[in-house]
Amino acid sequence: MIRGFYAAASGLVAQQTNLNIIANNMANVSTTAFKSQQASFADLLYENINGMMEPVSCGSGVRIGGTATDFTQGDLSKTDIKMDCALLGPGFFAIEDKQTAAISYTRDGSFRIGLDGTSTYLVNSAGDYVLDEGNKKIALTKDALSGELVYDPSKIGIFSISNPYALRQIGGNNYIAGAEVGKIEKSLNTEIHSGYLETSSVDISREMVKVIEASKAFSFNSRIIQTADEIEKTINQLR
Amino acid sequence: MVRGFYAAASGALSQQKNINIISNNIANATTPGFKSQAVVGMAFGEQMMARLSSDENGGATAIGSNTYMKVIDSDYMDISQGSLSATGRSVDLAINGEGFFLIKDEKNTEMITRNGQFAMDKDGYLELPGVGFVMNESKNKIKLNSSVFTVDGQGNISDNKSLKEKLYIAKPTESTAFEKINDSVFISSKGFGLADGKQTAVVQGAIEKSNVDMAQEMSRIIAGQSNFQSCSQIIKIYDRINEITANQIGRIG
Repeated sequence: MIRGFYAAASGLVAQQTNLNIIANNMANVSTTAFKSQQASFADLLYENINGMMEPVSCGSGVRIGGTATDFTQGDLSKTDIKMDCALLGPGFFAIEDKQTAAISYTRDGSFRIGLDGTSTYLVNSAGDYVLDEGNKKIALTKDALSGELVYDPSKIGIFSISNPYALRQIGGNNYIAGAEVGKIEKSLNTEIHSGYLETSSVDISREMVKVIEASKAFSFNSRIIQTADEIEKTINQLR
Repeated sequence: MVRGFYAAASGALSQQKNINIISNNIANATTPGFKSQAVVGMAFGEQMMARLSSDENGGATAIGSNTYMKVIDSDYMDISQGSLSATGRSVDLAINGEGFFLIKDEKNTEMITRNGQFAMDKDGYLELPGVGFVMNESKNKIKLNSSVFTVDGQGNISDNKSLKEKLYIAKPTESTAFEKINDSVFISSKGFGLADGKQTAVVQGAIEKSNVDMAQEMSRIIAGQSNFQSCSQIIKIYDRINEITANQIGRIG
């Protein structure tokens, strides 16, 4: 088959993946503290197709190199629930998994009261512990006046990660940090606001533009496949 | 065989190469830093046509020039500016105007690119993932403290800590002598020099989109396909002529 057929096929696959990524962004348009992702495209290897004459390099298509996360701050929306926290500025909350004790990071601050035996701790909506600056669980105290369980928002650990782009999304608004993320240290400039939640940073209009772009690119590629097919047909009809 | 038969065949082959290049352009219509390519066709020289002489010496007598083949001469790259698109990521950089980012791989091969989808590696160096490290003006790797940094229009990188670097904005020493490899990266046997930077503005948080013009590519592919079909039609006609020559001329009875 002619080479262009496969280049166009790789374009179809890449645009389909691109659409999948856009669809996931759209689906998470109201997910707390969701950060939109984008596909990064890269062209494939080039080869000389002109034999011994003046070289003419022809590429072999496109691939998606990976996804890139845009950590732009989302808007803060007022919930008036005391347990809700939002971060203003770069940084993450640390979460310890209840079962495995593995630490993950999140910007979702919809916290709850968790009961562990007789003691109460601050947990996230999945029931995993929220950690303080020293990676310890945060115990809730009983307010002397009202008798309500309260916590001190300033105690919640906020961690700045030197290379957040290397964080891996694992669902449940959580990210895990591998060795590539660099230093994880106490954040200095980030403010914590209780009674607020950070909204999703997905920009619907931008995503719509990307959908149009991806679907047009998809149909152009399919048109090329059709053309390549017609050429093959012409060749087959030579005799 | 009739000479025109081969002319038509070479035309069909050239068009096939042309269509391969166009397909690659369209496949990369959304690849950052991608520059579209096109082929230049030319007649296969002004071929001297000769005939065998019937004189005793057996020498050839020139009867004039003619062209009987079309070949792809070379490809050219359209290095015009692609549009910039904001990504919101501090490590994404784009160049508005002339110049390229200089990248060095592990083997110290110098490469240039307009693809600014950079990342930080595990030691904090600015890299083009899968290709190599981004170079500063003294051709060293750029170590970042964190993803919080700013890049100004001249390519100066700074943060509120110790970081102070300047991007190497390269240009090929010979403007046509560079070739594509992959990941929108170009190499050159002639090497690269420092661009003067007067016509260059580095933009942070954006990437340069592909400069493929869909309308142009689609019209080229339609033209290419029609040309291919015409060539194949000519081949068929010659085939028919040959058939008649072989089977009907000289038939007895």
